[in-house]
Amino acid sequence: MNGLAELAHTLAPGLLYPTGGAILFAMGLYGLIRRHHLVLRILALNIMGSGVFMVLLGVAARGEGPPDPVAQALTLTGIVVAVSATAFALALVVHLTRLTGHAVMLPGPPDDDAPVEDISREEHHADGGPAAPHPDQDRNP
Amino acid sequence: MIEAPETWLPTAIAGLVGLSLAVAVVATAWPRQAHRIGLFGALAVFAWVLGLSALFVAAGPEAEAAATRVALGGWEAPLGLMLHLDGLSMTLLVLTAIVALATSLYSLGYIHDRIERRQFWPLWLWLWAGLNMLFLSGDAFNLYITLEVVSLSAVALVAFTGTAAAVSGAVRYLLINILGSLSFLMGVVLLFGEHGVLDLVLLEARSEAGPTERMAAVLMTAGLMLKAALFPLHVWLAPAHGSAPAPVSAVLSGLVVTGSFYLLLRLWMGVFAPLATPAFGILIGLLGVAALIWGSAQALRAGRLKSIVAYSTVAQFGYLLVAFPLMLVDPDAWRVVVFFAVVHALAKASVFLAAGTLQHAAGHDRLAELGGVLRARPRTVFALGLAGVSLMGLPFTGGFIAKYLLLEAGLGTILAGSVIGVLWVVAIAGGGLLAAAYVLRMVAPAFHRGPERAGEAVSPWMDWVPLGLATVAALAGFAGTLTLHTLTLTPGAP
Repeated sequence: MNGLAELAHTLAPGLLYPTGGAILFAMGLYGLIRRHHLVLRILALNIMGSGVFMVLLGVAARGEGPPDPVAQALTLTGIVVAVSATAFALALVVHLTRLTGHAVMLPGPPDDDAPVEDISREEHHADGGPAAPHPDQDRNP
Repeated sequence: MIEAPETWLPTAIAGLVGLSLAVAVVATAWPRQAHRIGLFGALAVFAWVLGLSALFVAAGPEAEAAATRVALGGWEAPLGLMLHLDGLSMTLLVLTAIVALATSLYSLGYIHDRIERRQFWPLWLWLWAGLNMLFLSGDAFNLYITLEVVSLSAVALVAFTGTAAAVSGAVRYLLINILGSLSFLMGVVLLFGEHGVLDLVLLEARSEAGPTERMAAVLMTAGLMLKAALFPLHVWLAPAHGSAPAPVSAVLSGLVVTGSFYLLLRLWMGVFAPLATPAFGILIGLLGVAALIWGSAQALRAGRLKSIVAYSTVAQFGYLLVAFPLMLVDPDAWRVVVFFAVVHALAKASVFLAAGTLQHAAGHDRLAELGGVLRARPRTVFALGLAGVSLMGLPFTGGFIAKYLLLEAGLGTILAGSVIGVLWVVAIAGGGLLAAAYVLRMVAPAFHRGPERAGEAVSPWMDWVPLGLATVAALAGFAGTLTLHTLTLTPGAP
């Protein structure tokens, strides 16, 4: 354990941060795919975002002298974007939970795989007989 | 005294960004009047883009040497943000203006409710402003910001109706979009770490086939493919595009997806150009063939009109991937790809608008029960058919010219000795047949005998705008020469 701490100490921030950032990015991606609860998925995306910002800070710290201000400015801008996107995503999830009672996504649009083979049959049978195609049946909610 | 057009160009470019942003801000500040502000703003931005394109073409061969670049606030490239206008961005700006104006006029008829109008117009104007900035931005980080502006407003528009299906589709769309953006941003960060600049032109000058570029290329390409719904990262598209209101679907399928594709094309023609190998091209081409087959198969078995149109977007974007290996053999082919994307966007937007009119009249879009409404609305069906014919690529339409040029490029690769070129040619020709099959499925119920059913009343805007846009899509073939000429004014591209 002592050796590990020493290793971390000797690692320059220019190497430690990008490596840590890459690990966070991968962990977030794993969580995004494996979890189904939407709040956890949003958290996973935030972890991915932190990974990106850590790499960016590592870029800023690299080289001699003071850290690169451009990279720090980019990080700040990125955090602002991430916060807004998270707030928006959470608002959507709250709304979805109110509508369905669960914070998980619905499985695709309804009716998408509805059978279609009856189009021509229905129409051809309709021309003579009294089986006129239900004018108001498709009005149901 | 009249000055040369070149001197006006930088002002006109910065003015376009300023104008479209100002319209969005004003509409957000006065939501009560948002529809009026939106209509006049849409006309003003449309006129501005037309004026800008006239200036751009009139500036002529000067633009060929160096694209017009504007340093915002007088700060030059390494530190400041550059706006960048060349033939490629000009073409897509004009496309955006046409589709966006049609969508705005359509929305006048589609969205009546006072509350809904207040919510719709500001979001829609932000989306349009974001697209304009996306096409004009010349800085990698700024491109990330514009991507986020576009996707956040697009997600809000998908959730617009507020039903469970729409909100669920919006959440899916948002998660996918943030994932794509983060992946893109990670690539930008890697490029910045390697080269210390964010400007695309400076990056292009410094780029080589190193490991960092490879990693950045993988991350950025995957992120943008996710956003552009390119196969196999397309599964989110149909739920999101199918459940959105009609004008929103038209803009998503016509413009937003094209915007991500534009960025992909720009990166691979510039920064990542040293990384493109023939094997990579073939891999992308095979993905395109798979997209063509899978998207068409889904379109052939979907039961809802809007699902058919949404899946056909997946199939049609397969063409853009198939064109990738052609570009490696014949560098000139990229202009054909862009022309194809332009024609597709026009046709797809009008198909979605027409489908929206039919859905509004019938109260649903289940194909099996649409026959009566289709028979009662010949004008809308004609718009659907006309745009569909352009999607299929029958002669004299824009789609025909685009596919003809693609086939010509494909045959060129065969003549150049590439065996796999045969597959591309078969895919391009066969994709047209599949498109014909699903387009005919959409309009076929109109030709069965049976009673007519007018359904709910439809405003004149919703009746005429799809037809107008479909006519533009069909006539786009006649603008082919002009478009291809404009595209030659892109420096750095072959």
